[in-house]
Amino acid sequence: MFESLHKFIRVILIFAPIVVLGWLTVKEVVPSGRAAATYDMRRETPFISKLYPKDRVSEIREDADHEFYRTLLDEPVYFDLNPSDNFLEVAVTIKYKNAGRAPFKFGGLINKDLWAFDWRDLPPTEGALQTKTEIFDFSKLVPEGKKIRFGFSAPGLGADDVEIYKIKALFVRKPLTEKEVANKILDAMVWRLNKIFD
Amino acid sequence: MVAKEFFYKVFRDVFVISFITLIVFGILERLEPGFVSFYIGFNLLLIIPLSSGILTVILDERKIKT
Repeated sequence: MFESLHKFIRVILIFAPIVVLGWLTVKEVVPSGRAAATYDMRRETPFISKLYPKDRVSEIREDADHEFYRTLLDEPVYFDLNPSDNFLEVAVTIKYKNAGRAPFKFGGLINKDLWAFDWRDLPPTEGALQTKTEIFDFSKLVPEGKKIRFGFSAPGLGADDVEIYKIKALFVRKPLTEKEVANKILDAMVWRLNKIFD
Repeated sequence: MVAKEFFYKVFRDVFVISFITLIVFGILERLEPGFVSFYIGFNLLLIIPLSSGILTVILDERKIKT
């Protein structure tokens, strides 16, 4: 009995890393054309940076519902999106509270020389939690290396008026066909082999 | 096969396979930073061969003759 069980476990053990490698490949290739990432102010994600500069945001705070948030102490505050592939657009969802009377804004960098952003309004919520999604076209945003800078601007709002709970990014491009997926995997393999033997 | 031998063989297999996985994933990560570490922590990939290696040694019944 132990021998057949041992053989069974061995087969599982051999297949486990192959399955994990397949899963990592799917994450890299994104055949569906949609990749999501969420930054909940507590756990970091490689695709959305922390809010910075550090001195313009509070430390991580926890509300009565055990949700985590950061308060904007000064403005502007930035975060970067770091998409894993070439996407056409990104839907950025912000979960926030705005206790002030004026809207605050968020948006992506569209001109580095003029330091201009494609601002979108986040209206006052009278202390209630609210979620808002805005879609940004990657062709209009200016990348800094592989990263795309986004900013929050809250002119005229008090130091504790704005609380950011969650930033979610849904990167979108057209889905790949089976042939395109196979080509992409082949290209990635050839690229890695070239890098090893160069 | 007795239970102790069974566990010895299982931990030995886990050690060998996880060690090879660690090396392969390490190479992939070095070639393209983030390919593995964005999704799987390398401390997990290190702990599995380390702990299974220690258990393999503990469960090994062969005695070293001097």
